[in-house]
Amino acid sequence: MGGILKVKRFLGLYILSLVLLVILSYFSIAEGTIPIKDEQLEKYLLEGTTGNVIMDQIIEKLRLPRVVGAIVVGLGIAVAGILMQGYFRNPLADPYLMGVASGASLGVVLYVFTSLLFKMGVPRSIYGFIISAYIGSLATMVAVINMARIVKQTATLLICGIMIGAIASGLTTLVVYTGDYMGEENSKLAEYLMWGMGSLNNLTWGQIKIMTIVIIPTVILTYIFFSKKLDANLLGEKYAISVGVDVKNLRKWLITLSCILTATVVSFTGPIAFVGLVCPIMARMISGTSKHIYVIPMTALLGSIYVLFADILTRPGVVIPQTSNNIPLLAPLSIIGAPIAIIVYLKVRKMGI
Amino acid sequence: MMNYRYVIILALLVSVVGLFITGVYFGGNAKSITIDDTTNFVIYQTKSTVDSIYYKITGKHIFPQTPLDESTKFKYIILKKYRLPPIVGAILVGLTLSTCGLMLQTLFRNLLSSPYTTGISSGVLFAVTLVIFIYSFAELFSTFKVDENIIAGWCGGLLSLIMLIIIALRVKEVNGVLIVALLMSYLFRGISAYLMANGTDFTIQEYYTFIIGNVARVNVNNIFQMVISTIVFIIGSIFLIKPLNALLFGETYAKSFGLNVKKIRILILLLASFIVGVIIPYVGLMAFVGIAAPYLARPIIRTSDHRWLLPATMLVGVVLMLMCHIISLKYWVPIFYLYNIDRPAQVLPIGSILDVLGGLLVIYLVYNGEKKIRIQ
Repeated sequence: MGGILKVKRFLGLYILSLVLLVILSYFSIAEGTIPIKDEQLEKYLLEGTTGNVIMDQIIEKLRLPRVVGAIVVGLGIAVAGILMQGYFRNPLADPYLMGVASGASLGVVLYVFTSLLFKMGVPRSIYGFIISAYIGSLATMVAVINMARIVKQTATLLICGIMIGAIASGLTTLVVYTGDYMGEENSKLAEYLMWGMGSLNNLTWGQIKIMTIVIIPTVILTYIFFSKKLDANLLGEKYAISVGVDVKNLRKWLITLSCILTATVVSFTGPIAFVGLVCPIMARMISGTSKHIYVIPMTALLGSIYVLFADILTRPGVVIPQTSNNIPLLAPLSIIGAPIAIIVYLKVRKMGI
Repeated sequence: MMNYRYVIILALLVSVVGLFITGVYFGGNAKSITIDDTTNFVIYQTKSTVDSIYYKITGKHIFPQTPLDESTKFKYIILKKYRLPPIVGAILVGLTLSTCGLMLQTLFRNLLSSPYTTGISSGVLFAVTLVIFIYSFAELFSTFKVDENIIAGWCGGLLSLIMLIIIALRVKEVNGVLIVALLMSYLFRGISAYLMANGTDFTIQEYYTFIIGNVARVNVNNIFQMVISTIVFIIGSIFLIKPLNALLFGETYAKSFGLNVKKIRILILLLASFIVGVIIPYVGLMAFVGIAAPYLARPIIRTSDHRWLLPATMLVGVVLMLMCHIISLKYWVPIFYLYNIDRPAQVLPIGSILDVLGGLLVIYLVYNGEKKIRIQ
């Protein structure tokens, strides 16, 4: 009986958040420097055109990629967060705070730099970006894991992650200035700096296709193969081994998967902060359980909602005046995320995890 | 043992002077200024200073001055206005922030605390950002007839100080305080990013130099305030040496020693936020001097007695900052020789080098064993 009730409750929750996602997508298409009116949108949905070529272009080339991009990005980063939290058995683990996202961005910057340094060098392709981001994030992750072995305290580990982030950003500045000296155009380098604060502005359909191809299967495979094992892992290593989970193998997989997710997202959008921390916690709170079978889909949905919402907030004409520039995505994410993180930290301390 | 410490302090002093001279001679990328020019400039400045003092006392010239020709005059102006102030700025930053770090580390009994990790720097930076982006704030702070940046810096410092005390009351363990403070700095950064939306290109540029940290902003006009506040700070910290030593042995000991522990704590925090509020508005965020300098100074001086540790930390901080300053000016040299590029290079923000060096150092510190992250 209880089981059926639970399932009903979760179905209700999923439907509710899906509805929320649709509503937010509507706003995301409508809001911006050039707002799109309801009649135009209705016409576009029914007839496939607004009757105005420019408006069509805006919807197809600017707004829709952002909506789809935000959904995919949020999904990927939130699930990466839940995997990292499973690995460290620590609710404060997050791809951004642990420095993995900064490592990935460092990888991308170094890739650009090497292609500058050896002039014949590596061609600048999308795959090069992804692979270098992946290598960078993996290297950072290995460093963090090694540190986690020594440092038992959660707090110190987080501080280390933040330090790694600082190193990465310092090196990024260094590389950008050296690139400037070597004759890279200034505007392009400024773009990289801006990219360091996260943004969904420049996503194209091609990039979104690649992200979707990598992220969606990874998330589904994670859900199918690892949700039970993650539950066991959360209860402690000994318990997990006694249930028959190969903990070492599991941990390796967790790292690889979360690195793949983070690197894929970061190589296109720049670091996305706090999503991986806030969404799993909210999902656990809303669904009232920490069973991953329920939590992972909820987290993915919440991640999409969070990033979509934050992306709407960065547009001119929503919070800031119509005439101003776009804001980096980091701003709404950290303004919402940081207080939640602080509250969670204070609560977690009380529970003594 | 005593002799060893004297030798160490002396060696540090010598290296500070050496780096200072190197900085003066090689601290610029202007090709027209040769080494001879710099030497002449130093001699000219010393002569004219001595002469003016002598003239005030006796009314006679000791070194009669010959008028300079135009190009020399121009070179001297460059040296005086653009080469010297950043070096002095680097020295002041190293001196004050490392001392602050040492005090906070003793206060919190944790090797990872510094003006940056306790959130004081971020608070100051936030207030200054408000002044940069919002005109009415700038108006408000400029009513005091002092540079509005300093007033804003002090306000921000006090704000973050109050926040720090509130957090410390709720969270008993030190690492927790640091985490909450760091998360707060993320919040501040987010709000600043929102303010950027209305900024002009110029103010956004200014903001970027703030979050990276750059001593090139120090100039002849604002160096005076910095020097005066630093002197006040040094005098204050000399008075705090004994209480700091007492705190080292633990609270109960300090109490039995007849010390008002609460008062001392608030004094230390006030002094720290005072100096950070003056320095940070001019140079931007300097993240790791506060952690790195005391950490390096401890094994060098081989004691945790603040009578020795405090000056050693100051000097190590200065050495660190001067080295970073010289690297930030000369980072292009290897590329220059590899690729024969013949064009002027921009000056790298000093904060980025500091981030890399200091961050690596801190991670090494954690790596080296968590047991040691406690002050014996």
